[in-house]
Amino acid sequence: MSSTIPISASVQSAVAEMLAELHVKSGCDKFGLTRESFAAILCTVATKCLPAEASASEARSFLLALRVDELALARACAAGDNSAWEIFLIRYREKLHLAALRLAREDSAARELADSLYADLYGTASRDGQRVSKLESFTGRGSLEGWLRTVLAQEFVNRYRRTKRLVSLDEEIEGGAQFAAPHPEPDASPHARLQSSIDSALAALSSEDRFVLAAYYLDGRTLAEVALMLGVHESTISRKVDKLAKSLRKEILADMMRQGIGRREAEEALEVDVRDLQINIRRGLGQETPPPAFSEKQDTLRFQQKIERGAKS
Amino acid sequence: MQDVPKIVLKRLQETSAAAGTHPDADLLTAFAEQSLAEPERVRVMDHLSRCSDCREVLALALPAMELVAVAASAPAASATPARSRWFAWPVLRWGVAAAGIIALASIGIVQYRQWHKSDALVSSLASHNETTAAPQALPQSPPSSESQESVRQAEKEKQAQIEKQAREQNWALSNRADNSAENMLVHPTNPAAPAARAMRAAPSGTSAGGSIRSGSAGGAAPKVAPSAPRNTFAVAGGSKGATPQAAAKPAASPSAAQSAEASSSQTVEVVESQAAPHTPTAKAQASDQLDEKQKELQSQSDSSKSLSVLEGKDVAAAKVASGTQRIPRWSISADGGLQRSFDDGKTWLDVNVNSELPSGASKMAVTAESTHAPENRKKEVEAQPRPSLVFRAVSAQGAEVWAGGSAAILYHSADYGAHWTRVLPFSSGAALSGDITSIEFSDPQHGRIITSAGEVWITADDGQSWRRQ
Repeated sequence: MSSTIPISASVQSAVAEMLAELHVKSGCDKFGLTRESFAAILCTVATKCLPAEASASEARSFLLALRVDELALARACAAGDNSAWEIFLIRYREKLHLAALRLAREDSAARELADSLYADLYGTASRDGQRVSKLESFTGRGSLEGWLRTVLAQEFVNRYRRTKRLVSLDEEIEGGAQFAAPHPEPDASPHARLQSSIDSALAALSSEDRFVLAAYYLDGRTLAEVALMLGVHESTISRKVDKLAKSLRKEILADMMRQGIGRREAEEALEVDVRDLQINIRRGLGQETPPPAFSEKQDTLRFQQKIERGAKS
Repeated sequence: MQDVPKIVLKRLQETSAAAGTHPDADLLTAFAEQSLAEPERVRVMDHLSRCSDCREVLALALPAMELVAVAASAPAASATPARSRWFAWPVLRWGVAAAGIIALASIGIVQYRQWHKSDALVSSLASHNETTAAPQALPQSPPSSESQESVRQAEKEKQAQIEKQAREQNWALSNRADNSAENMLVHPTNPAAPAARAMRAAPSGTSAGGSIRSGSAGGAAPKVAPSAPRNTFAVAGGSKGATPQAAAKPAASPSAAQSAEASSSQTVEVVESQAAPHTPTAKAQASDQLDEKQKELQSQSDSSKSLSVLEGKDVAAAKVASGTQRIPRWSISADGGLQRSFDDGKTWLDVNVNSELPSGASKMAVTAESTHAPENRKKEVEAQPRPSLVFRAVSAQGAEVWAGGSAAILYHSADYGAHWTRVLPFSSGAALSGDITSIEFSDPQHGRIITSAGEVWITADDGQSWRRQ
């Protein structure tokens, strides 16, 4: 594998320089990893993670920050070393089960989730007749435990998405697809200006601010969770969210006023709830109570939308 | 929390088109663990800010919040020992000091109360005795002013000291409450003597020293106290060193009264042994008086008209009732001394029938004082210029102890030898004479005395009356 990727000279020199130290640190002798194979792994990881123009010192600090012991364990497991698997299972079996249980919230589902992960880790899928373990993608930049949790979460999300897609396509339609078209139309001119103001304000946000806003307001994460994801204190996130909300409103209003909209009008426009819009539309369409069945509802809605459009045009 | 307009959030969602490829698990983990280099972190952050799926994965891959909470509360947990600072050394030190002060204070309060109680008890009983004894003393024939004066003077001198001793003995007093020995002396022929004796016998600050009843002059049948007053606590306590003579047994008063009333032919005179005040002068005085009295009694013995009963009913009753005492063994030493052993003959202690133990001295007190007692008694004996008694026979039946010897001395104790009373057997106008060589009591009531003169005296009522064979 390593032969396919060109390894920069800086990485090679850094690896050669620190190999002895890292080799001892990794304890890969226990897993039957030779010094040469370990050096090849380090080169691969550094080349993959570091930019091509990285200097030798950057490469050294990167190598120093690596969790070489977990990297060695993961790679030894990927190579199919039994002692490495023993250690892996002793260390992570219980943790994996708990993590799966936390995601699936039910024991059998958790077992299924964990089993599928084990299959991936062991490498059932073959490529060119070769068994490929998911553990080979572990680089040691984070902890092996965290990586396992992330892999598990990815697996869970994928399964969830698959299941969701299979079961409730209607739900997505009901989720707003049918309203997406009508809502800009009733008040096109003021809301178009409002939208542009909002977009410009959002574009001005830093990626972290946007992340915080999205995680807190869209994903419904708690302040503690957001803080944990960003590695800061909860109170920092709380202050940040508050400040962002204020500044966003202020920025949008200022932008709208620059576009010639009065403050009051701008504020009213900003306070318009999209759901209020939808309800107004629904009222206008005579859909006070939703029909019992999705299919019926869907048909009715589409029919009424057509009628509405026809009337307007 | 400031609200963001819904329309803004909706726009935020709509504009969050996933940019580029999703970061792999390795990158996400490194991001979550803050181990990414800044440029890479910014890149991942940018993707995350627009990709809800990756945010979801990131959030789901977070370590369990409980674990985080535990980790976060670790500093708080380390603060919990602060709560146990109550047990930290500085606090503990002050706590110990406070506890010590409290303990001392409580001990002081308890002691004070006990002192106060004993004082109050002594004074109340003393006043009670005064009130009860005075009317009894009044009908008596007035004692001679001289003897009364002298006795009162001695009494005053003693009073303070004795009261003090009484307080010191307050613990013993409570234990010796059973020893409310009662002095009941009836002496028809010497009206002054009983009063004086009474005063001496109870120099406890009580003016009359218990209930002393004196028979009226003229040899009328003496009154015998039907029952010993129970209020002799103060007397017993106060008359340390001048004890009342415990001589009688439970049945003493009725039988004595009967015998006294019945006839003059069969008379028992129970003479109290010498009261032993504390000071040598007082002792000397007392012993002199006793000697005189003894001589007098000896000379008057054939008049057969006297009856003196010392009643120690309470003592006897209490002693018998207590039942917890070890029964001492009795013996006569080679030189005629009366000896007693509480440990089955391992050690023998001299018993001085004339040197009374402090009033109310219980058996326990005797035992406790046994180590000092011999010396003290020797001193007392030395201080008393009186003829030493030579015993030749002793007989004990439980608490009843009879000891007799030369010159017709016969002493009786009803309380294991704590108190002694001299007994002079009279029968048909004749008194026991000669040396007593043998005393045999088959039971507490029935006994026989054999003298060197060959006389045999028999009692069937524990020495209340005697019959010469």
